[in-house]
Amino acid sequence: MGQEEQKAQRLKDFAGYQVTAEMATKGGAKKDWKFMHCLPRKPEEVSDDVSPHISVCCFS
Amino acid sequence: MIVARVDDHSVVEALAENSSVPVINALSSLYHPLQALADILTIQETFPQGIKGLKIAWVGDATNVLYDLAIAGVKVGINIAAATPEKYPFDENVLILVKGHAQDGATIHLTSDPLEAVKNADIIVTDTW
Repeated sequence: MGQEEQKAQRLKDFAGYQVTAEMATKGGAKKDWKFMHCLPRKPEEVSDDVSPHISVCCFS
Repeated sequence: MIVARVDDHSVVEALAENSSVPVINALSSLYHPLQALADILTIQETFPQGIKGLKIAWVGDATNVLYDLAIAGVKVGINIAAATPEKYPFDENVLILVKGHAQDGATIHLTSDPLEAVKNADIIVTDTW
């Protein structure tokens, strides 16, 4: 129960922090920017439209 | 050699203090140096033309992964920008360390605005929150 509340609070706290292609374009990242994330990743952390910017997978 | 994955960072510090063999931090509450090594290696492989002057933008929580990425990054001349929510600020002591380790004019910029952090970024990074 506590975990669900925590997750709901985290989702609220990190609203607007999901990494998306739109964020990168709007913010003016370099055109061929690369994305990195140490796995496992959750969908609220990064959107699927970022996948063209992933050139390597690194497990750690 | 001891490779220790711990919770509180003080545990790995105590190990190092009391050990007669080298102690490697495999993750602690404050740092994740092996992750940073892997990340810098990945960046080197992805940018074979050179990594000095690149910009990494971090968007997410202020975590052990961010802290060591920032320290490692500025040591090799990579500029760091980190956007974390105001409720989760970058650790002040780590910030002093980062600034002290910067080479080749590398800078660190902190903000709570992801759009500000990603400006001119070569690499955008996040981690679990």
